[in-house]
Amino acid sequence: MNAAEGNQDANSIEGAMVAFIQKIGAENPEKIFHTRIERALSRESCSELVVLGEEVFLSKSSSEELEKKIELQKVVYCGVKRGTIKDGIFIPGPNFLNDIVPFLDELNYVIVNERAEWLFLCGRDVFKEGIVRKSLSRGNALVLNERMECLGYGKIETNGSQVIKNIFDLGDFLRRERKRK
Amino acid sequence: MHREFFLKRYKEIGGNIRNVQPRDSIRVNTSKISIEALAERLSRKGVLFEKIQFCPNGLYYKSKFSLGSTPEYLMGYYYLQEAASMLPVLALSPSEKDLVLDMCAAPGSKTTQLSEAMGNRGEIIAVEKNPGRCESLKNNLERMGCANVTVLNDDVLNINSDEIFDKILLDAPCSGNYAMDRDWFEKRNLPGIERNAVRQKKLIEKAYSLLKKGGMLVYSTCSLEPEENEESVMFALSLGLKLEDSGIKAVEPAVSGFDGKKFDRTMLLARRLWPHKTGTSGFFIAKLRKKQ
Repeated sequence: MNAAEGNQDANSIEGAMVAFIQKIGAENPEKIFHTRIERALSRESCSELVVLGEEVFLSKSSSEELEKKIELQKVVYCGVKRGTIKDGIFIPGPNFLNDIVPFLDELNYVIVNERAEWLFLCGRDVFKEGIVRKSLSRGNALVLNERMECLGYGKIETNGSQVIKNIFDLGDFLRRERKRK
Repeated sequence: MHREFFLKRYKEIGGNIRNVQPRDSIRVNTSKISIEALAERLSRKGVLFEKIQFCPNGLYYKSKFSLGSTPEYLMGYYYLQEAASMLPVLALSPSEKDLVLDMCAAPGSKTTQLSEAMGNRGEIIAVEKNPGRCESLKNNLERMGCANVTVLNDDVLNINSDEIFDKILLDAPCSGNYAMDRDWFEKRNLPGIERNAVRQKKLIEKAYSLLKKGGMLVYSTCSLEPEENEESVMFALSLGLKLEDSGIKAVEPAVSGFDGKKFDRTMLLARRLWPHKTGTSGFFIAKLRKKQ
């Protein structure tokens, strides 16, 4: 159980994560990535990046010790899930997005009102009427509610009125369950 | 016919039952939000709350809309969890230094409760053999932000290690109870209950082999049948486990005998929740320690 599993090496995963942060507007994505990782490592007592299938995790330091004691070949989840990786592209999950919220000043974002929050969580796009505050250049943008809680992210579109096209929102938790059933 | 059979045995050991609709409840994820802050947020939307006396993080609620799709739910601020099912983790009382096994973990109500109780420290191994249910477990762990759980998609009977866990939660697959399913009496019969009891004993035997000497096992079911509860605990005692006080107050003790059989005198340390007495789902909880 290590970062090399799933034909992904640690450097390429880190590179994909950095590329995501860059696309969300950061001028110095490496700095955010390393600061973020260090914070998460100390907060969650995690020590390594682990890939299981397409899923990326930060895992606890005791995983190797456990591996000696238990057969862990059927491990499907460990530590905190950070996102998934497909064809070399990192798709962040809520825990990764929450980690980069403290760097909001350096990123693209929109803060939306309660109605737009609900619609976004239902998989809809964000329209300018629902935007309370924004800081946008190009690429992708985080979407937050007025309590500064991250709801997901989307692509900035500037054809006509400015829209954030939904890429991922927390409603995905419910859609995954419905799909499974 | 089944209904009369079950009603007769319940009358013998628990009194006259009546139909009960357990109250809706949530468990607040205090690693993400305080109980007061969450209650304040949802109260503004018209949700009414009442504290669950026996569970510090538990709240009964009344709501005109589903609490299974609010922004607060999606952010992992709470878990929809029946009140009685919050008790096994309280009985186990895991610490942040423990290595804990959750033997039949999906969909994760108790796994996420264990994680929170341990302050996201220590280590939990959560095992679930059904791949579909395993996905639900993973989903809930991610939503609730658990950091100390490793999930194995396997039958826990396949784990080949000896005496490594400090604490084990065995919330065993069981027949359920009438308060959870309005067609329960039509679906259940004695042979089915006996099949479950056989599986439960295998799981207890495995738990015993995986538990450290002096370690603690909490065995629970949401069944009301003595074959799946007191008789399973009698089997655990025969292996070398010892019943302890679970610390759960204001709930009836387990039954002292059934069908002509007399159980160990320490059986009264185990707990039974009868829906018509507690207003919850039916439940059984036994806290057992492995001898040194």
